[in-house]
Amino acid sequence: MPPPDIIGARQVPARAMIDSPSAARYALNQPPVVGEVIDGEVMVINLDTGVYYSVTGAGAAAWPMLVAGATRREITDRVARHYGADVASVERDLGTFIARLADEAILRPRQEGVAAEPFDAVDPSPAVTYPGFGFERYDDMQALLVIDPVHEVGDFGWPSRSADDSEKA
Amino acid sequence: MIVASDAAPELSLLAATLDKAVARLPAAPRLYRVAGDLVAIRAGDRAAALLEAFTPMRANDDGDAVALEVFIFDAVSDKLALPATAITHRRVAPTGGLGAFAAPGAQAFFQPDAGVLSLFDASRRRAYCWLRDSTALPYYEFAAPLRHLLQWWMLSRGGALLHSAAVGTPGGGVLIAGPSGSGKSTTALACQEAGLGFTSDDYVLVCCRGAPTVHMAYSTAKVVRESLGAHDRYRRHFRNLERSDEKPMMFMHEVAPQRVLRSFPLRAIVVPVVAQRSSTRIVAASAAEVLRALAPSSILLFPLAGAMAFQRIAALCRAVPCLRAELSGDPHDVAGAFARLLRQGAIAGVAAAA
Repeated sequence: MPPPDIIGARQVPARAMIDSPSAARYALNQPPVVGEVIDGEVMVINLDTGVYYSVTGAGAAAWPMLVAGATRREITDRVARHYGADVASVERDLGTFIARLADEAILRPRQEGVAAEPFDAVDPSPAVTYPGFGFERYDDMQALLVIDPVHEVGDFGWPSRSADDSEKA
Repeated sequence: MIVASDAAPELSLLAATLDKAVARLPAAPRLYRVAGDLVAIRAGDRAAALLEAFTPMRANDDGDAVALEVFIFDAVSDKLALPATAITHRRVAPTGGLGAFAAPGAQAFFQPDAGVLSLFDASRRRAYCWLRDSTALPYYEFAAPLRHLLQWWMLSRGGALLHSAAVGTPGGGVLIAGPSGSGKSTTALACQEAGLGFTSDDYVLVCCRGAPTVHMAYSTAKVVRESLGAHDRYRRHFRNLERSDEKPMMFMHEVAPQRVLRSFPLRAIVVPVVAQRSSTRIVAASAAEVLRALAPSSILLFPLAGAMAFQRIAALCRAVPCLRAELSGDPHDVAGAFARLLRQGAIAGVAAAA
């Protein structure tokens, strides 16, 4: 299994940072995306594509704020304070992280006028050295969705069905 | 998924058609005790062949209220054609996933290749299964029949149908979680041979209200065709040996009825890892690792299970110890490790050693 992308702690695999305003707010792309925080990690599944993800480190710490609609500035400040990390570094890494989540259609911009929801503070576990934003993508389950040939539907229903079958149905 | 307002008329039309046809089915239901509740299934003789995997759950009428009514139709013998709807004759593809349809209180999913329609009406606690031809179903429909209906029903009552093997004793047992090929079936079969109770090798019902309880969904056990030589003792029990593209399948209530374990309190969730160790080792794992092993296939195999199933599975991973079994290549050794794990206090010891 390839090592996870760690945005910040190690050198970032090249990905252009998106310059979006520090006041930008986001929301989880529900449906089809669902996420659960567990044991210091976040597991995210896209129910449409079958791709799932693991978010760790500062990404897991930022997650509850991110999906609740906190601004990038708020998230940056809290994460930097939690880890005693340089604000500029966290801001840059968060930008890259958000761009990655947006690329995967995990996040979408929060609708204007929709207020942020209450969110928990950063995980209160003892602060460690700034770990960067961990992000891992798994696509080994996509085959499960291929068992339905929905994307090959013809004019007269399922292509696998004969005329006889259609009459039966 | 089609949005509710679009799907509702289609779902209503299908439900009305199936309701009207209920009179064609035998009046006397077959009763089953499923996840603790009474389920009444009405099906004609041809379609009833689908029910063999439920045999250990057969129940008598003890006056208990029926929690779910299930109606199974065979389009051939019950002479039931379905109206042309977007659900069964879709011309517009849903946006993604398995393409199921939902409206408030109702869900439907059509499997075009197998020719199976599953429709669940939660408000009336009725479930319908329509089969294009029950004699032409793929083996997995006999191995895990009505699974979409069971999933929706379980979700509506605080539980879930999970993609997991399960073994144990009446005092407690474990889920063995992992995708196909991870060693679930082999481990479950080896455990029953070693004397543990067998609850599942693939799908299992879990009630999450209160202390988590595991219930048998199906009596089915499967082996990979490549390992048939090692399972020669079961040869006469396999149902589909002649179909070379299918996993050989048998039913535990025939093979070893004394090993059928209908339910047990959940003590831990174990992720098997094929490690080729000289002896199997079971160690603590993170809840996140176990969630990754259990959730994707449990959720993605079931349209509309989505968010709710994910929440239930995550809650389960938080509620009980999460372990990893690093397997040796010897099934007897693997079974021995699970048997030792299920001895009094052993799970707590492994979890504490993390």
